[in-house]
Amino acid sequence: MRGSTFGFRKTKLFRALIVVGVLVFLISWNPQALFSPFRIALGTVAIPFERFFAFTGFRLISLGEFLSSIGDLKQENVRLLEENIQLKAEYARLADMRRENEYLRHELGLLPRERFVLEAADVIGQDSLSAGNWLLVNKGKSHGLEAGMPVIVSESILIGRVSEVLPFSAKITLLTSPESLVNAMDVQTQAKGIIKGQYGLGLLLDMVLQTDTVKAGDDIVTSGLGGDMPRGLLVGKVQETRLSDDHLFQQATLVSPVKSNRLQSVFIIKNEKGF
Amino acid sequence: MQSFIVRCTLVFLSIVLQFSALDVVFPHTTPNLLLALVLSWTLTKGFVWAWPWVVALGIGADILSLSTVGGTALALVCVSYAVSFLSVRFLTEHQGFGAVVVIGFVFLGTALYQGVLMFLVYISADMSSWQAVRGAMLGAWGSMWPVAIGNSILFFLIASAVRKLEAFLDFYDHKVVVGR
Repeated sequence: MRGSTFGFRKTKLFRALIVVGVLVFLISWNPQALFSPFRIALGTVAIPFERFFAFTGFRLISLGEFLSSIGDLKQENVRLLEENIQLKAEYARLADMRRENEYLRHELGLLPRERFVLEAADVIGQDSLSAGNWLLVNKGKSHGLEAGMPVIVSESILIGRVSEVLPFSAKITLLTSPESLVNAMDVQTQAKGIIKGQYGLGLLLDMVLQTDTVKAGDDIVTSGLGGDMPRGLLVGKVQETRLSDDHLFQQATLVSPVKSNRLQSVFIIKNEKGF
Repeated sequence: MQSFIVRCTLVFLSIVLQFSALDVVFPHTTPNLLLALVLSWTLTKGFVWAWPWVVALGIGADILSLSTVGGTALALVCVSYAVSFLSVRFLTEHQGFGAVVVIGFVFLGTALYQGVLMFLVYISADMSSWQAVRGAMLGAWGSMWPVAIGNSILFFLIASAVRKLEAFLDFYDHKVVVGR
């Protein structure tokens, strides 16, 4: 009996059970503080490698896209010439619309991008292995970044929020993450709700009152409620609406204008000018 | 000591390469270099030898991705044990079909890895968002086949290099011991 006990302790299964037990304990305990020094050290050492690999990765994608488009170059050229003529006409029209847009932004309280103090950062890592939905950028605490800061791209399109900050890098939790919650509103109807991530599958505008109106095609922006996010950052367009499971609220699925897995650089909003 | 440093470097570069290059180039069906490395180690040297490096690889990945520490390691350890358990039987009984059996192990490893990660998401998920969790699980299941094919290709690309490296390190370690 004693011999068989010792025999079992030498088996693969026993070792595997011990390792699994310790790992399950780690997962349930989740000692952030214990691993913090390792995160800082490993994160700092990894940055140059991550930048190199990410840069090479993006270059490979560009090269692949270029090679696949060679056959279409002639057609593309003709199309671009036509498009150029159209765009010249469009430009004249947009100049007028710009003035109107500025007026409307002022009326709605939407913020033009120039109003923010921004920190540009390069994407050096991202996760598609799990439902983490995050990006890793090459700016951190030493550049003035803090957890909770909103992250945008191009013309004030919100993509997520800084969730963890290391000295020279930061983790951005995307809006599609289940950990993400953002107060938002419908630009056209002023209906308010909360945007929730759908485990990388998309965005859901939830908790919209049944008395409010939300319809397909409406633009959804941050409402600024709670004070942790500036008002007027574009999140996406409403794709379809439905009632919540408990039939108390309306829900709307949103389509973001940005593909987060193709981002090479982002802007982190550190502050609003004039605050 | 030199072998230890070489393996640590291999672990570190694999993690960095996974999150910064492979995830960028193949965003939807990313081949899993960590899984391929674990399978290579397990099939070359067995679970008993490989598990400390598998745990180091998983914990390193969790630390570098700023995720809950232990999740990836748990998934990789489960894969390593299952493949080690089955390989003892199948690779000796079906020697003529070695490559096919190995592809089977890669598919099994991919399914088990995603299954363990999805289980961790499931037990930590807010049940009010059950539909989203279910959608994510179905999405992961749907993308499993292209990911498994990618993993198989990646495995065959790195397996022989890992086997040669391990043979060299064993030879080197042995030489050092004899030399002393």
